[in-house]
Order: sequence, then structure tokens, then C-alpha cells
Amino acid sequence: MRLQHLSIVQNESIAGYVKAIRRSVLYAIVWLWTIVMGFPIFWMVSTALKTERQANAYPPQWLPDPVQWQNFYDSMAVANFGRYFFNTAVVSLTTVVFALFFSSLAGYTFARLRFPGRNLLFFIILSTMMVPGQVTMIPIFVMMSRFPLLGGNNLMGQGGAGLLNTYPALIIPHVAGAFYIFMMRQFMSTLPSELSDAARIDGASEFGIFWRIMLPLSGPALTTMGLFAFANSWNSFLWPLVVTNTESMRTVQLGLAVFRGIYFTQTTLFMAGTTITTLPVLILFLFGQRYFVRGIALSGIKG
Amino acid sequence: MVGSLSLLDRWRAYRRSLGWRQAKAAYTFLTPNLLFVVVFSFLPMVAALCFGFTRYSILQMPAWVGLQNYATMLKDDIFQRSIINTLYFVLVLTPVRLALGLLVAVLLNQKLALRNFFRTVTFVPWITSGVVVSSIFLLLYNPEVGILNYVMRLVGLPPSYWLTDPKTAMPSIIIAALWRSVGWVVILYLAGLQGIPEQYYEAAKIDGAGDWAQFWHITLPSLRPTTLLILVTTMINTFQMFDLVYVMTSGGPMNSTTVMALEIYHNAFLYLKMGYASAQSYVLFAIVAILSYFSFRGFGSDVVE
Repeated sequence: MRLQHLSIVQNESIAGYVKAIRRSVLYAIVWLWTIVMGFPIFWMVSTALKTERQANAYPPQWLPDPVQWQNFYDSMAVANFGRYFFNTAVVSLTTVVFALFFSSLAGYTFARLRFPGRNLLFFIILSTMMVPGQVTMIPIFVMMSRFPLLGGNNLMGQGGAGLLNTYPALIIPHVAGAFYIFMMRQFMSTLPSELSDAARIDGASEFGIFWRIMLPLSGPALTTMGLFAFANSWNSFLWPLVVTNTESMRTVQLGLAVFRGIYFTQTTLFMAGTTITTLPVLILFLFGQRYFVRGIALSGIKG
Repeated sequence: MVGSLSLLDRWRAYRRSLGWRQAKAAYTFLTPNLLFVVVFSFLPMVAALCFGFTRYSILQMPAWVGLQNYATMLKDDIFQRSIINTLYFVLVLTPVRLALGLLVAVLLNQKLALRNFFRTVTFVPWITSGVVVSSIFLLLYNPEVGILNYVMRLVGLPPSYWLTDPKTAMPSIIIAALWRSVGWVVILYLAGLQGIPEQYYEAAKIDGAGDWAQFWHITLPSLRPTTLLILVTTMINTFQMFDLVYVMTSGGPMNSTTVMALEIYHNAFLYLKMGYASAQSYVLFAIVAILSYFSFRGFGSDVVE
């Protein structure tokens, strides 16, 4: 009896050891992963706070000493960064507001309303996700630059720059997206239908049902989608590069890239610039993160 | 006469019904989106196809040249090189990212202290812009004072020229792209993992299935729709990669990193060969369509909704 009891205790402690070892291995892998993934961002911030000598030191110096907060101020003074930030904020915020409204309205329609042609239209909208941006980019550029009667153009769209170097050219081509509509539809199909049915019986309009009942229930999905749209717009590079060429209409990404070689000959100031550029999206992301995985999971992207 | 009357009556009845009300609302709500799809997707698609058969510099009206643009591509070494580079980039990055993303998602789905911290660090690169990512990696890859060569020397490996050596330039860009985009795959897989009912695992445990058996027989099959979605969407995006190459190498050294998106951009907006660039964009479109088709086929149509 006694022996048997002992061996059970031993087995349990062996199982305990195995479990402890497995946990340690798991943590070791996860920490290694986190260090590798976190390092480039750490290096960006660390370099941003160094002196130029420390940034180019070999062997590399891990931490700035003393911390050069001044770099952030100096990097903004190098180019017209205030203006770039203003442009990017105008474009991103406007894009997000329109994208949220149009996509959630379409998502609601596809999720909740019954009408002829529903599946066909949804399929058509989804299929646009397959089209590479390179295909539509040139015609949309032509459309913008040859827009009649604007930007010095005549009725035939000749003579001027059309909508090039304007906010509408930066904003309008991105105010809707098939992926956003898909996300909102998937999310809104998971909401209970009792509320909207009750409202319909009470005589609410279809728009009223969407605006006052469905939208307030869609917080996680709207947060997630809004964050995507904002990050996409804030980080976009190719389209601003194509439709703007004046200094005053430049976005932050263009300011960083095009003038990397001209203004930012100093690594530290350049990294300070990239750090500041990353901050707005990063802050929004940290605030919205708790909705993130949930928002996507509820959107039923799992299929 | 009687028949048409009843048809009219039915029509009138329909117009008073909930169905009519919903259809009217639906089409009103969809109008802005449909208009958008027509103006910014369908019309440009048709226009690009047409431009592809013309010589067009935007300064003059397009001139019809038939299939000449497509014939030119057959002799265009740089464009052919860009196709090979793009396929190399996509066909290496996509599977590696998929596998790594799944592995990390499974790890970060465990109960861990600091789990949210680990997840945040994994996601952050994905919301960082391509220009910022390029700038950071230019620093890390610097052959003289870059930290990567320092680490290489530290562990006894020969230092590399990374982005300035034609042999290592594309792998270096793939690493930067992987760092930037793997977080997105992890997010989608985490969402997918949360959709697997806990009962499946409990049942498997009762049957004595170990961790590996559970992963192979429950987790992996349940994630098939997620995997297809990730595969197709990330592949389409990866084919369009532009900013990393534009900032880090501009296609060099010796065209070893010239991808199709860069080549199309150069032709359209640097050399103003918009007709030729449009034709090239249709080649890109065709490759994307073929690979997407085979992805869907490979996974079976049953996983699509």
C-alpha cells in the first residue's frame, strides 16, 4: 500500500517536472520571438535619442547616453513637417469617417436586408478585392489629372493639373473598400435580429434601424475597421507619390522617403522623424487593441 | 385582361409590402458603394485594358498600337526580370509567413503571463508604414556599422552586404517584409483559433489525444477557411509590394530587386509610357488571378462560406 502510494506521488512529481519544463520552453520561445519582433522598433527609438557619434559607433551602442530629446525637435525643424502632418491628418481622418459610414451601411444592407440581386452584388463587390492596385492606378490618375473644369482644366480636361495636388485626389479613391464591407457584413450578421424586428414593427425607418440600433451595437467592428482605415491611409505611400508633386501637399510618408537623402543626412534626426511619424497610429492602436482580436473574431473572418 | 390586372394587383401589393420597402432601402443604401465600385474599379479596369493596346503618354491622346505593347514585353529583359523577382518574393514570403504566423498564433493563444504584451509586440510592425520599416532596416542592414553584421561577427559568421549584394538583396527585403506583415497573419489566426469550440479539445482529451494529435486533427482542419482567406488576401497584397523596394533599393543592385509594381510605376510615371505600363499591369493581374484560382481549387470550394 505504502509503496503504491509513493509511486503515485513520484509519478505526479515527474508529471509536474515535465509540465514545468514545457512551460519554461514555451516562455523561452515566446520571449525570443518578442525580442526579435520588438528589436527594430527599439532600435529606431534608441537611435532617435542618440548623438550622431553614438549612432555610428562600432561596436554598436545599445542605449543613448545621455538621452538627446532635442533630436525630436530638430528633426521637425529640418523639413516642413508640420505641414506634412496636417495634410496627412486631414486625409486620414476624412477617409476614416467616410469609409466607416459607407462600409457599415453596405455591411448592414448585405447582412440584414432582403432584396433581389443581393448575393450577386455582394459577389461583385468582393471580387474587386482581387484586382491589383496597379491596374486601376493609371486610369484613376488620368481621371484625376484630366478632371474637367477644375485645377485649370477646360471642359475636355486639358490645360491644367485637374485634381492633382488636392485633398480630394488623396481621399476619394480610398473612401470605400470591399474588405471593410465584408468585415462589417460578417459582424452585423452576428447581431440579434429581435431588436431590429421590434423597431420595424414600431415603424422605424430602415435607415433609423441602421443608425440608432445596429450601429451602436457594432463598437468592436467599427473600432477595428476604423483603425485599419486610419493606418492604411496614414501609411499609404504609392498613391500620394503618384498624385502629388508639390511641397505643400506632401504627406508624412513622402516627406520621410523623398527627402531622406536630402534633409536627413543625420541618422539620429531621421530616426526621430520616423518615430514621430509612427506615434499617431501606434497610440490609436494601443487604445483600440483590446477590441482588435475580438472585432476580427466576431467579424467571422474565421469563415 | 384578367391576368394583367392580377399582375398589376400583385405589383401594387408588392409595393406596399415589407419586401418592396427593404429592396428600396437596400438599393438606396448601396448606391454610394456601387457608384464607387463602378467609378474606381470597373471603369479603370476597362480603361487599363484599353490603354494596354495604345501608346499613351498622357500629354497626347492615346494612339492605337494593337498588341505591340505585349510584343515589347517579350523582348523586355527588365520586365521579365521583374516577373521572376516578384514570383520569388511572393512564393517565398507567402508560405513562410503563413507557417510562422500559425505557429506564433498557437503560442500566443496559450495562457501566458504578459500575453497581451507579447501580442502587442507582434502586431505593432504591421501598423508601421513601409517607409518607416525600410528606414529601420536600412539602418540594421548597414554593412559597416549596422547591428546585423555586428551580430554576425559575434557568432562567428562572415558579415554580409545585405541590400547591396545582388545575391542577398531580395532575401533581405523578404526578411523586412516578413517582419512587417507576419503580425497580420497572427491576428487572423488568433481570431480563427477563438472560433474553434472548446468541446472538440475536451472530447479529444478524453479519447487520450496528445497535443500534437489535437493540433493535427482539430486545430489544423478547423483553420482551413482562415488559411484560405489569409493565403489569398496576403498573396494579392504581396504581389503589389512597392514601398519597401522603392525606399530600400530602388530595384537595385543590378535589378535584383526590381518587382513588377516598381517597374509599372517607373514606366507609367517616370517614362510616361502609360500604355505600356497598363499592359504590364494586366500581366500582373493575370498572374494574381491564376494563383488565386489555384489556391481556391487547392482548398476545395467547400470552405468558401
